Amino acid sequence: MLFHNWRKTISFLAVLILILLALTWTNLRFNRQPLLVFLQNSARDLLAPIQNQIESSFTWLQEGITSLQELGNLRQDNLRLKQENDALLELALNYKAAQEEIDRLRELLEYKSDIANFAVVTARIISWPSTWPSRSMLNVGSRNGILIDMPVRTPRGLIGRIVQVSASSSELMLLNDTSSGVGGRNLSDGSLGIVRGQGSQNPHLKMINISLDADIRPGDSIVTSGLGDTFPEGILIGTVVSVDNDPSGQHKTAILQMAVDIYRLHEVQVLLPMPEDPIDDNTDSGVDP
Amino acid sequence: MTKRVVLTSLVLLLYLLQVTVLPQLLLYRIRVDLLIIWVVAYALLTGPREGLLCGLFVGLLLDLGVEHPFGLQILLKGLAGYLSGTLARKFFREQLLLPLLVILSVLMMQEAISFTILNGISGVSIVFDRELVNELLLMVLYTICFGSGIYRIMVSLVGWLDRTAYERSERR
Repeated sequence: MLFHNWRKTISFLAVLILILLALTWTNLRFNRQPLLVFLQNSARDLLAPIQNQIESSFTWLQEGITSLQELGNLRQDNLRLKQENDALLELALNYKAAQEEIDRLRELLEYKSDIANFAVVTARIISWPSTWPSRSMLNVGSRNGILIDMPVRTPRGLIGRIVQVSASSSELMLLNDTSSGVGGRNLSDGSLGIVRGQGSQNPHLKMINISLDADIRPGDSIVTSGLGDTFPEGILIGTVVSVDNDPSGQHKTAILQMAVDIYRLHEVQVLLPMPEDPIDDNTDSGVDP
Repeated sequence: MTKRVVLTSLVLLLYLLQVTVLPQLLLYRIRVDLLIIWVVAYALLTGPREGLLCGLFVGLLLDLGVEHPFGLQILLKGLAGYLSGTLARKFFREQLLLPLLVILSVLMMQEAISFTILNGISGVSIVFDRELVNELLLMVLYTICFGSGIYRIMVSLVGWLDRTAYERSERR
């Protein structure tokens, strides 16, 4: 009997630990094995509808409770919103005029925004890992047109990219994952760098390889540079908190505060590159160009 | 058979709670690993063999479902189950302090190993700042709360399963 003989038990455990360590290491270092991807995708497809249902029921419940709590403040809220609405109407008029001018100038310059080449699929986060979370699962998959490496954002800014896709779910790698790397550009002086994650225990991102003569300062906004193939240009990544010289003395390094609080997310937007012809999407997830 | 079905269903329920509802309920970035509490509690009441099997199953479920990289959770939960199982029957079931201490020790071991493996390979060093210490303290607090509840449930469950198995063998 295995568990009555300590030598056998120790040997068994040692072999098991070695196999699992090797498996973990190969998964971290190299691409995922096709068999593992198949097994994970099958399990995720099985669990995704249940997780989706639980998540949406819970959100509904939370929203219901919040609505009940807010009932008492309805009158004041209504008054405040009416005032805000008036101010926003005025802003909208100004915005419309400015947008028309931008469109006219763009037409003159024959400029096409990167983001205009993407359609948006709205997705919900249906699960989080329990240890060191820098990844999460979304309720959209290949059925909704999702592919690996598609960028994911919220209206406030970039949050990551898709790293694995099954039929009805996909795995989102957040910006703070240590494998994450995004080309960044400082909005104030145009200097470039690579924004890397520092692991889920660290809420800040690190922008490396910034030129020594760059005039980057705390408070500057960093957006995607659009130089790689994955992320379109101009999505807000974060704000500079501090700047330091790289230990090598060849570059500057900046610490960034993420634009989005990634642990308070419910809904996100996956950006789908638009094909030549419009997508014929017949899924329940709305695709808004 | 009944035992395995009941245990598997409860593990699945706990898994779904852990990955969907709990992250929305808890403060900021604090996560509570209900499943490690479950594995340790089960192992403490049933021994190393059952603990290891339960740990491996829970780890496989997590690695297939949501965790990254594949293999790490199987390793951590399997180890947790086996090590906790070696302490089985060394204290009274009704005691709560010792099981809680074991749960907390195993949790810290899990955090340390997973951090070493994940960040050792990707080359990021840990900074023990005030924020991290606060997170760890909150995690300990949550684990004590959930741990005492889950351990008590587990004591009743294992007792009920043992009684059911005994009655069946008696009938035969």
